[in-house]
Amino acid sequence: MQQRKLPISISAGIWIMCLFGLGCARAPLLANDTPARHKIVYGLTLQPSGFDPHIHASSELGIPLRQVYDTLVYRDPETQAFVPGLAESWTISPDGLIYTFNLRRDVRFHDGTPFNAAAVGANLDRIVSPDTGSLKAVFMLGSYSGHELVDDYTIRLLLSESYSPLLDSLSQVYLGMASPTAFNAVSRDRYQFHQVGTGPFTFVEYVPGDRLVLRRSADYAWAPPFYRAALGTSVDEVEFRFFTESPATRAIALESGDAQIMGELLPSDARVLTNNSAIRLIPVPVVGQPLQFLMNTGRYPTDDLRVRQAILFGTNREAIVDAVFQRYSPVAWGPLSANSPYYDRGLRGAYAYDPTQARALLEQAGLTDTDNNGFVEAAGVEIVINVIVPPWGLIPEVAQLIQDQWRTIGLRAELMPVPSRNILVETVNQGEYNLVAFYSFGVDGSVLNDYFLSSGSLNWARIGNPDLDNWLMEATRQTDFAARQGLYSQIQRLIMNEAFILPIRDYVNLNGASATLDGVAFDAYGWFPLIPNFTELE
Amino acid sequence: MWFARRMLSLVGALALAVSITFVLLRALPGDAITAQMRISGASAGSIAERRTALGLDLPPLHQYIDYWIDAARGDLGVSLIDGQPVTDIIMNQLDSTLLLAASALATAAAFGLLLGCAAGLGGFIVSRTARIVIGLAISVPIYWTGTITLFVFAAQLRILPAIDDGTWRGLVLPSAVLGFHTAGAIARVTWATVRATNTADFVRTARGKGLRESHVILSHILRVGLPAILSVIALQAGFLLGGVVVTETLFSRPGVGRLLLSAALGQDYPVVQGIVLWSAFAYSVVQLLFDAANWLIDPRLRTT
Repeated sequence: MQQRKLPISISAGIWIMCLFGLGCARAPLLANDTPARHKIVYGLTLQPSGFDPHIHASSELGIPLRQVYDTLVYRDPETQAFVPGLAESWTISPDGLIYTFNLRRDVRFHDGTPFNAAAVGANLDRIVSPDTGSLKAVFMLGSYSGHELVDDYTIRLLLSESYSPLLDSLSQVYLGMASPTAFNAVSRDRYQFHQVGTGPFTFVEYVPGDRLVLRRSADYAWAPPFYRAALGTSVDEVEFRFFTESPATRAIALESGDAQIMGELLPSDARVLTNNSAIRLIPVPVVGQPLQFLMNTGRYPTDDLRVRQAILFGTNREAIVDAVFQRYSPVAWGPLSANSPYYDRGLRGAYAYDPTQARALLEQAGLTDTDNNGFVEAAGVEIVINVIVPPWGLIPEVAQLIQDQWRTIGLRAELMPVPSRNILVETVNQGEYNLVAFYSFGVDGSVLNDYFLSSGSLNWARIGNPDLDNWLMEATRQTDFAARQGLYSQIQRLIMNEAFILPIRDYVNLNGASATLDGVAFDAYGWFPLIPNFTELE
Repeated sequence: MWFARRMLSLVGALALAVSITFVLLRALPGDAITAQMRISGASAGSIAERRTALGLDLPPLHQYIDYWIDAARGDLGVSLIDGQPVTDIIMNQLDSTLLLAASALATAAAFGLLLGCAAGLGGFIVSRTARIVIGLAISVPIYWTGTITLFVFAAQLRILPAIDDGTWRGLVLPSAVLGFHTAGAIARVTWATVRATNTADFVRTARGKGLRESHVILSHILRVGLPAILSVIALQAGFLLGGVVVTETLFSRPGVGRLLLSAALGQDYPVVQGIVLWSAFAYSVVQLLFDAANWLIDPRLRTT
């Protein structure tokens, strides 16, 4: 058979077909009437199921929406103290049941609707209405039972019992004040596409899965003190894009200039980016709980305090922070992060790595290696520690390292990977685990309630400790800051004395930003950028 | 008659696809809202209330029958998370996915034919190279190629964007990557077909008549192989459905594939079922179109 070459005309034809296929691509989507002078692309790293702050729960939605909404109060990004927002001042009744807010009189929503007490009432009504189906905001209101309009610019929030985290809740975007005209004009599922607030940026559009666009508001004259006044170089348009599921492409998008700022970089990528002068690395500690494993006190062998303590002593957290987090995170020693206002310094260094001590504790608990296979047994039966491992936050890498470290003390770990948060919760419900990694963020100490109250919805350590219950409830009722600090100190010590958790590292969000972007700063919670302060270097 | 039989099998395929999805989704523990509500600190009572309001506590058979009654009326239900109509949610993402799928399929067809002809008819070096490339297209995961192309073309050379920028430039990398992998099977079939046909008597006759080689390949060899090649292109439309999930995620593009991934992880049943129904429908229609095209192209089908 004679071999023949492929004629040029065929390959040319095929390439023309290729080009034709590409030429069919759609025209540019953004028909920009007045192009922004300082536009940035901000990379989001989660795809929230939706963007209505009163309905949806993702922390990611706050990154754009914190710019659209003002809240009644704010937390100062530096001091974490409450400062006036849409409320000029507020008082709390001595019994903690009535919160009275005096509102600013000069505020209008972006659609022209005046902001007043009735608007605040309408927002609260929307959040608590069963028709809204709120997945987060309504639960942040605690024991809120209703409101009273005192006059046009004074509103009272009424509580059925004292609930001191209320101010903290009201400072968060989930309780941001939306224009009643706007949310009454559309059905509950449509408002997320037509959002109207009073904040420094107006909502332009949200195209699910594609982008969310904000533009700077020209009329914003009621900024809290930490928002800097607009300059000629201030960022005036932000396009949020979604870089989900594939963390490796985040650094690529920064390097290629497709995004000017992005959070949740992989620590290894962050390390590499430090060599790139066009990109600045901005690590931001996130306040709340550290990455922690809750230890199931209701299941053998972690029902034994000595075994739980052995696990703490036998885990080399310094090594984990070095290897997995490239030293960008501090080691965590207790149930609250070091930047929490309620953090107890006394816990620093508790249960520092000590394999000898760990082995001694296991032996006291009756766990010894009788058959010399390197792993401990009890009465001839091999001990296995089951660890539920969610896929996020580099927890799989941490768990593998822990599994390896525990070999030194003779503990066999079996990792149970779960693909999603829903499956994690269901796996926990089945109860067949010793350790499970889970944590929440927040400035207020009440972030501990769901995890450590015996009635807590995330009491996955299966704790029933009357002292802990009493102190947590008292700290939730108590409105005096110093008194709460004292209570939370006791609480943190008890949690670590009882070894209910294995804390690993404080959470640090590794942001990367273009070196031409200046003034990049984040709010008191750590997740949410203060975009009004962003400027572009000319 | 032929058409009626095809329509019947289309409806059967849709019913089967949705039924399997329905069972699989509910075989997984958990639902769309319970986990989030627990994490938000909701009491067991308010979680139960919300489940009742959404109909999640109804027996699965009841939900299944309800689903078909509504679907028959064209109502695919609403998202369990915020009540958005499923039809709206899918329609919002459809154009982006169709554009990617169409350009990837065009790239795949062109590239597959080219590679197949090169492998079957080219000289030693051309043929060997083409076979290696075909092997790569079939065996390497999209994730790998996608990340490498992003790294080279977006981060290093900076000639194409890493994300969908709304212009044709943003479509080049994703449709090239998805098209390349879709092309693997097309090239395999083309290769086998042209190699077999190349030695047929009528091809020798054509060459003997002194026809130009391009004419021999296009009008004689490919003409005969076309029905088989078209069938595999149609089958590859199914491969595309899976490929868009990875490609859209990797290239930060909107679309049905990415929607499917997040809805499946979030257990938003109506959205997942809607996407399955829609993709099964799209796939069946594509098959139908290709069958009709084959009927036009292949005279042998018309005589029987």
